[in-house]
Amino acid sequence: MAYKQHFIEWFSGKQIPSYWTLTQIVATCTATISDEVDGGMLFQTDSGSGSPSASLTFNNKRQYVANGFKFISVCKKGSDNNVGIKGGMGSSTSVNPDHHAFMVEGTLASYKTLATKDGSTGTETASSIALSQDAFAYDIEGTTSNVTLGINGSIAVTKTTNRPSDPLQPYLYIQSRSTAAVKNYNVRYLECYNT
Amino acid sequence: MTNSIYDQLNASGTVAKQRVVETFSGDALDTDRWSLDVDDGSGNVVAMTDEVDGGVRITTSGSGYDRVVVAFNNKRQYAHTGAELIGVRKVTSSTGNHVNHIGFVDTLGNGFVSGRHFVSAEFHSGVTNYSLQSGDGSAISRISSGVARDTNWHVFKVRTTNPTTGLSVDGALEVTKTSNPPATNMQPAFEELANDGVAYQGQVRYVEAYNT
Repeated sequence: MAYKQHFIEWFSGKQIPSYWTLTQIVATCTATISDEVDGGMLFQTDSGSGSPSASLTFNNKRQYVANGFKFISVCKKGSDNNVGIKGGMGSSTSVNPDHHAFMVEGTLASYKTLATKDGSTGTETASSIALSQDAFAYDIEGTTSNVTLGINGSIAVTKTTNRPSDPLQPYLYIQSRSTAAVKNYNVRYLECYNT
Repeated sequence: MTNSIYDQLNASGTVAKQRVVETFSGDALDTDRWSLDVDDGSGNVVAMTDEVDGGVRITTSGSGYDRVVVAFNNKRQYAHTGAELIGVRKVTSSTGNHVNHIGFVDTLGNGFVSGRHFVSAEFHSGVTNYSLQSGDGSAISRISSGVARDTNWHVFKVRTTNPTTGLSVDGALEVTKTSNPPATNMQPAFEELANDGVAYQGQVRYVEAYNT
């Protein structure tokens, strides 16, 4: 079998590699390498009100197929719970890409949740796994029959509705919620590939 | 079906700790990842080699004292309480008056010296064997690996678990010590130091670091 597209990001080094694009959606956010053990990339909002938010993507270089990809990441949100985070595969840099398959955490959801969108309609299916500030590993796999969300190695959600169909890119997102303060989202591993 | 790298590196259900893998292959050193810290001297060169299995090469200027450290610009994501670094390295001269380190260090500025927290696989042209050296922020100490210094490629693996530090060379002959262990977070780093105005070279073709 010919080798398919495969990408690994360790988020360890001097600075965020230039193949990542930070797109400001509301106000100003930053993406830097953390100076702390196991800190990976530190995605931060600014301290303002009005829900500062941003995405980190490949600037619409979409090399991954919606019905045959796997995305894996290790992340945690910061100690301020008033934050929403997403990670997964999306078709654009916007807050709500037309095609996507995202893990959603923080005050954007009540539990760790799988969100998908098929070009027009977006729906979410919650897992039974509570929101938390602990680091966790998750994976999202898109196949010809469903999209699954796994948390720490076990499948937590299987979703068959409103699945993406357009080509996708890796996508990370942070949004400050409710309070005017700096919010954090650490990502220390990201891998995606066509299956 | 394609398998993930993640599943090959981690047991099922594991939340992976920080890791980095660098293969030093391309047209230039990845300066998004690596910073250069030149404590003294000018005219030093850090460049990818145009040779089979060559990796990246530090060449000191050949004029006076030079020290070049390649590191993460003080992004310290690796724990003194549990981290390992694997480096494939060689020096091109085993004589003269120069030193080469590969390992973890806390802060840039003067490299792997007294006053720094570090653990390294040390080449020292004045010491018979490759050594495990560490520093605790005030004093440093070394222990011989039993493997004679030379100009060949070797795989060095350093580890720190506080208070024990360890070194293996080519997968065997690990030595450990508990004196002067590092006591703070660190970054991967490698260094070439020339003491006598001669142009020395140190090469690295692989670095992998991870928290354990």
